[in-house]
Amino acid sequence: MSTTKRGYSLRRRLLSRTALLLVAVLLLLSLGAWRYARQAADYSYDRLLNSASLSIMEGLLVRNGRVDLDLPYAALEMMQLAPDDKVFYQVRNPQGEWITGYDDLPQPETFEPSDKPFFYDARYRGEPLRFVIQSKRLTEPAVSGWVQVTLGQTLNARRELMVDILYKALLALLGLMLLALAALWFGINRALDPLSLISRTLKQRSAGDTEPLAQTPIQEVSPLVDAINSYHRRLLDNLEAMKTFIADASHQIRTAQSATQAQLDIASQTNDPATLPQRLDTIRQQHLQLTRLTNQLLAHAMVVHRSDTQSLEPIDIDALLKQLLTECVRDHAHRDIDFAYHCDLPHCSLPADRVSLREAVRNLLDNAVRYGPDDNQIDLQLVAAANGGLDIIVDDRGTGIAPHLRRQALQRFSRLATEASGSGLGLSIVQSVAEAHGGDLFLENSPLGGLRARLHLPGGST
Amino acid sequence: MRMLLIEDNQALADATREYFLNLGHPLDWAGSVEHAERSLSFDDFDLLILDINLPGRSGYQLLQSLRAAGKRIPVLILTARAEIDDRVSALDLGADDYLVKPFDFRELAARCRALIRRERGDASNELQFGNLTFNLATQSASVDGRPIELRPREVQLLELFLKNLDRVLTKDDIANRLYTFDEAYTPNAIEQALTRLRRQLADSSLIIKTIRGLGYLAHVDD
Repeated sequence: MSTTKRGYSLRRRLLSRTALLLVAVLLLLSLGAWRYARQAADYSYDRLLNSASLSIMEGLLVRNGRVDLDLPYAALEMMQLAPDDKVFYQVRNPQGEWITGYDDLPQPETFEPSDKPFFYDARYRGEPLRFVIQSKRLTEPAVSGWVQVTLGQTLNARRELMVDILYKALLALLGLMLLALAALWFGINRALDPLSLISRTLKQRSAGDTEPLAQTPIQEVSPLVDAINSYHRRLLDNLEAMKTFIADASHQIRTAQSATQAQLDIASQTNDPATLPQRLDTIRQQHLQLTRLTNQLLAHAMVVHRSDTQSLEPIDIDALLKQLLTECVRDHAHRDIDFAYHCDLPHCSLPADRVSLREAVRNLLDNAVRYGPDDNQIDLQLVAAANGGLDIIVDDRGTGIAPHLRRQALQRFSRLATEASGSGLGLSIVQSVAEAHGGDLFLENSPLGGLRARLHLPGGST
Repeated sequence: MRMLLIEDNQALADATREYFLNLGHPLDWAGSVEHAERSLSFDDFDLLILDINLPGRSGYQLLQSLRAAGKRIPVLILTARAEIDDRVSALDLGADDYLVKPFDFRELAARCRALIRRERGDASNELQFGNLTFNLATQSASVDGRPIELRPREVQLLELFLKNLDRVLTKDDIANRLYTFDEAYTPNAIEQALTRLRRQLADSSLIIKTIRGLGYLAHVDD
């Protein structure tokens, strides 16, 4: 179809959106994994650093009133666990003076000696390092106060551990995501499968296939199948109605044409010119009837077509009726028909289709003139309907239609009188218009003695 | 009266010409808009009968260019399409009347007469409505050449109707034109004048219909 957008695929949209969501989740999780990996690496190597520094602290002794260090071998052994890293140490006496190790290790900005180790990061000799300061309070008479052991280590082993943890976590996450996408792809295809099946089935059907689509057990798809089937049914009904209509219409037109043709043939073969005027008059009458039939057929087609396509907009029904009655009086001024109009409503605006409503009211007036006596009385009224909306009423003083024939009178091509002047479409046109407006057409007894045609239009009069 | 028929169906055109010739009115025929424009450029016509569906440019286009050029010649549109949209747009574009095909020749002739009457209304003093003649200068009327006797109010009423043929006049419309502001009148007085006028016009082509609840409508049936 022309409204299909190239890029608009349900499958692609579902997939791309889910993938986007997954990527966002992956990013969040990676951030978490990265933090965790760093913490885990820090935790492990800080403990190592802590143990090593404690072990160095063990090697401190007071000799001759001076603090001295006997560097324990175990401490260095411990640091061997990170073979690629360099280690720096420093020991200071309670006076804060350097005793042994590297004397220029960076110091933390704020530091209060305590029993707990103090960890900090700093750069030394162009490399980032992790340091720990281990303090111990000496209370010997000769030496009292805090001795400090500072131990620093480069970060290679830590980084390695962190990267290792992060890499494994990310790999697991990525695998999980791909698995989810694959499952989604599979799921979407499965979900869309019934749709493809329906379109394949519809494509394979011939236009005249009257069978409905087979029902589906899938809950979400069955409304679609129902909708397609109901649409299909309506189309078939319309098609059937159209066939009947065409058959009826052809019958009517061809009959009228045959009659004209026959009269023309006889007239052209006649030997008696005196009969010609009469024959011509017959032909003329038949032709007039054919003309009226054609007009009504076209009007009917127009009304039906408009009811499908036109939207209703508010029009002044009172003004419309006055105009139509004026036209009708003008066209039949030479006849002895008495016309009247009655409308008490202050405002008579209603949503309607002007063109088809005109056609309907004109048909009602035409019928009243056509089937009424020469001294007919035709009253057109616009009144508020009891159940809301407006009633357009056409009364006449003709012979009317017997109640048991009224339903038949509304059907297409049903002419009640054998008199040939009617097309059998007039009232059917009016009814189509009424239905297109959501209203109805009623045939009743007129107080004038003839027929009352009441065209009901729903909708609040404004 | 001289008329120009613009119609591409030759059979219909020939029949129309013959019919109008029998009535004593010459009818020129053009088969296309281009042809019609040539005829219009060097001849004067009282009326155009214009088909809408023409080969080449459509009747609407001719009508539009005529009106755009300020030509007020009466135009009667012939259309095969019965949809009222068509008629409404024809009138909107400046047509004076329309007929839907197939039409009755008598109807066509009557509409043409009505249009020409409307156009000549002010030009000549003596107006012809079928067998009814009305003289604006002397304010007198005759039917089939026999003068009819009318009181001043009835003459006014008749003139009002003749100037508003095929239109509805309400009682108020009539009262406003026939009586000055200070003059007291009763609806009865109008009824009486009308009744007498109708009686005098009984044999004429002018019919004055009463539409109860709406007003009065005068129509020339010729």
